[in-house]
Amino acid sequence: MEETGTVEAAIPRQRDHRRRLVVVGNGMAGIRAVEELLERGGAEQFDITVFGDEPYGNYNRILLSHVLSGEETEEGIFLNSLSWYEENSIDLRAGVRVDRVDRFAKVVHDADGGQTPYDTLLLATGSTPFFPSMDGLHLDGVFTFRTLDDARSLLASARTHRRAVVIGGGLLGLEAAHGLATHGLQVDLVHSPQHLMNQQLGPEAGRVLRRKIEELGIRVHTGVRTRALLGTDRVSGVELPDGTVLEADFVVIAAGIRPNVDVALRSGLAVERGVVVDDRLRTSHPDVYAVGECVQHRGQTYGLVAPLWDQAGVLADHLTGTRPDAQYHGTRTSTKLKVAGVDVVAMGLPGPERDDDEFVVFSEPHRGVYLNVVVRDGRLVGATLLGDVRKTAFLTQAFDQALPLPEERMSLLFDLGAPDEATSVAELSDDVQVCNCNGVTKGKIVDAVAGGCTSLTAVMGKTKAAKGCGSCKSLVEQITEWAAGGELTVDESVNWYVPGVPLAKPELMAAIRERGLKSVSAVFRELAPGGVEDAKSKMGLTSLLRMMWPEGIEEERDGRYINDRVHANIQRDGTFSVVPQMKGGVTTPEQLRKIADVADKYDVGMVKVTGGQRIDLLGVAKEDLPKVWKDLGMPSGYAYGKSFRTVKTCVGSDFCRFGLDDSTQLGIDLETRYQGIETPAKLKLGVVGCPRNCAEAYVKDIGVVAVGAGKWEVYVGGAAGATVRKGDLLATVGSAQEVLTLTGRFIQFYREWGNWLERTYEFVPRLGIERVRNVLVDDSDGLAAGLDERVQATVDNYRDPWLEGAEPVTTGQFRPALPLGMPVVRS
Amino acid sequence: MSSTPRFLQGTYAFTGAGLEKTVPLEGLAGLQVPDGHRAQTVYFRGGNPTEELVVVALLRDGVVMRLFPIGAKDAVHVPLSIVEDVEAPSTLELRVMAPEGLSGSVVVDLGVVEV
Ligand SMILES: Cc1cc2nc3c(=O)[nH]c(=O)nc-3n(C[C@H](O)[C@H](O)[C@H](O)COP(=O)(O)OP(=O)(O)OC[C@H]3O[C@@H](n4cnc5c(N)ncnc54)[C@H](O)[C@@H]3O)c2cc1C
Ligand code: SF4
Ligand code: SF4
Repeated sequence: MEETGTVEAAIPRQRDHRRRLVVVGNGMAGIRAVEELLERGGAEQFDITVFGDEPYGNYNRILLSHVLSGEETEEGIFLNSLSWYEENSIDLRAGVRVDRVDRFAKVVHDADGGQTPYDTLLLATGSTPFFPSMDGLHLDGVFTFRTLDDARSLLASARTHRRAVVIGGGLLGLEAAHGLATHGLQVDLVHSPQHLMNQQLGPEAGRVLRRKIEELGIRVHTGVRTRALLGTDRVSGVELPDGTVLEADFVVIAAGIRPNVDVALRSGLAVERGVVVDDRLRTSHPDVYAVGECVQHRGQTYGLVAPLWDQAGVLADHLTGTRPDAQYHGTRTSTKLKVAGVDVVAMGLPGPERDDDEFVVFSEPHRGVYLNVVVRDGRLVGATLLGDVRKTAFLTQAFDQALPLPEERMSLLFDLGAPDEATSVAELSDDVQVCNCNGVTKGKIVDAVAGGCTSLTAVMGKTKAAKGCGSCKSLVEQITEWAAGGELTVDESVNWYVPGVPLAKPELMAAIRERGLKSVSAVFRELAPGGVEDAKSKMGLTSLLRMMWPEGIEEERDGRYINDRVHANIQRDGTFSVVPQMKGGVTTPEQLRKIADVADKYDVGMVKVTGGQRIDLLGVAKEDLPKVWKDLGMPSGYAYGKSFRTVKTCVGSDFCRFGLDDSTQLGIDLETRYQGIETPAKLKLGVVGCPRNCAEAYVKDIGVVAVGAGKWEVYVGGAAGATVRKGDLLATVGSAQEVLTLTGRFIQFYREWGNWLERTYEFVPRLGIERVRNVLVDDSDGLAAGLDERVQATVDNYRDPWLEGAEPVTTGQFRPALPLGMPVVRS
Repeated sequence: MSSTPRFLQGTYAFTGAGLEKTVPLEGLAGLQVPDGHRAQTVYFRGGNPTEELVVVALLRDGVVMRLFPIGAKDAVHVPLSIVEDVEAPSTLELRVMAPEGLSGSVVVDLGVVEV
């Protein structure tokens, strides 16, 4: 057993003068309370221990919806890293559930058998999902949506299944349905009240929202209860009262939440719907406090984050003695949400209640816009904004502070020559909460600007505003601009090559060369502020270093994308696709036979001819990759890298009646020469035998077109993806050899001057084709020879990465699990 | 360290000596707080089957700490959520105050924890 903190410590220990604060619940409320405490100098007063039964640091639960829909990574939602706990000397017991509190002995008993004494205890155990009574809840394939582990299970199921039923059409249900639909699943949503989000919205707004949800391809069933879940071991469908069965490969229950009062009940605290607390957040027992979704205050329980910011503040004021008379008077929740991509703001009444309530409504269902306000005795008592939330700031304030309203009620919903944005931002009072997800007021944003944050990113970094669901971002921007009084700076960091090292590419390269840095960690050590490593910068640095040191760098595998680590393309379901090289799209019967054999042997999901004229073997398990490569015995086709990938060719003069030159051979030569070269972003080429352009050379990063008499046109900066752009003519040259040279020169130029992840269709217009032509063709800056030389060095150092299969570079390189890099801790 | 529940409970006979004067509950021993421990009273429940009001008194080392009046044929439950610690080697004891000459019995249940 661990020695410190337990009473049975073998060696008696000098108690320090600080009070022992134990927090049960490592969620949003518990940690917010700790943060507020620390802000008020609580580290001096309290020796803090935090229990959380999830084995992680503390994350933003709201963003689980984004994790599920794929907009956010798991790492992206963490609020405090494990090092934060260490830096603040907080003893985090992650993955340890508290069973019971002995409130007489003032000891917390945990599931590992540990006993931790406290002077002050804080319960912040949150909520648990509510299960409506129905048969079949025990079946496999029935999920809830509350924790990171839930989100992971849902993601895993989404990858392997096709049909899901979500039970519950409130916030959580809609988020779950939306998330699953974005993975291409067929989703049915069953909601027993008559309209969606009935807690926050009136019937009409609910209908408008429903339209938007249905546009996402989700089938919505309202006013319908579920009778049972069907299936023997695993759920196979959901039965409705009329006997209809909605087929389902899995089911998500999102029918509401209940305060998690287990520990409080077992410990003998007063519990009604939640843990009963007074205006100081004190429970029925002295020295035991509670905050967050587990509490019931003045008869109210809450299911959103806004109230818990208030609670955490009051609690910290009270516990640290900063403001001994601080009291919590409840929160009038005005809900700001982004549900399934739709902005929703709701405050107070969803509709009129009394005969003389004024009710102003604007509804435009086709555009998904619905707005209303409810006015009583000249005061705003309710507002709903759906799809167009520009008036949020004013309405929130009018609602919170019962401000007098303009005579012309329409101006509550629309700016009719009324105050422009700046004035309305100026009018907001400092304590108006702008970002609900992170509890940031206008005042805090203004303070951040006054404290030297002069860009939006800096303000967001400092205050966490707009780092939740994002629905408040435009307001945060307006306030920042207003507070900076036009002094808003654009982030210097936009010019940095990678976010973690404050240097633009030319300076960064100069510094690297000067110091001879050959590994990513060396770059951080020497050039990053404080030598801090930044995960988001590693990939870009690896690419840069490899470009600068063609003879090789000190490899650090975490400096690469998963695709580059395993030299294959990761697919939606976590399997990989393997694309053998097929230069210029030309193959042989033996190659085809071999590919067919490998496809059979490893039972690949699909064999596909790609848009780049190669054959893609889809659905290969990670651990099979080395065997597949070995059996194929062909070099990698680079379908994955930020690198030179492929040269698409037409049949040219060999077979085509229009062919003016041998485009196929030139394509093969180009691909042979430049295979595998790393570039800022992927590079796709095309060569065609005449301007009929059968291989789409005009829309490639580099496109080559035969124009007769041995002449070739070289185009650069084309694209035919999400952006379509015809390449710019760089030069017309007189031989295939010159094409090879010019292409290499352009590639090296792009490697040295292009920004990380900048495609050539951005790079070429950024510099202007004239400039590119001057440098590369006319050699205006005397760079050409150097470029040629350096690209040659890279070509000379080429090595096929698939050979790694035989001898993995790192242990675990080809182990099956996805390397998610989560900060998991278990004590 | 952890807490151990203790109880002073049962049905006990008494003979009243006036409402101002405590008399023992026959056969109910006091509760001695062991060395190295302290005790807290957590609740009191009492039942009075007689036809008269009686008062149950909680004493620490012979001194009255709390009084629990119980009406005729009535019962009370008092959660003592505000508690003070009773340190060793004190003794906790329950006695009763009842009209002179009244003989009957009361049901008592005092919840105590020793820490
Ligand atoms: C998917 C999703 C989307 C949401 N979106 C929004 C939104 O857009 N806007 C909004 O305002 N709100 C939203 N919410 C609600 C918001 O997340 C909650 O209001 C908030 O997290 C409540 O904070 P809390 O600390 O009270 O509870 P939690 O964040 O749930 O934290 C409680 C923690 O205590 C731990 N715990 C419980 N019992 C024990 C024990 N015995 N021992 C140790 N640890 C224990 C739990 O594991 C948990 O980690 C959303 C919630 C979800 C699930
Ligand atoms: S681009 Fe011209 S040469 Fe090539 S296949 Fe088409 S028509 Fe023939
Ligand atoms: S279009 Fe883009 S996103 Fe869609 S399958 Fe092709 S590569 Fe993937």
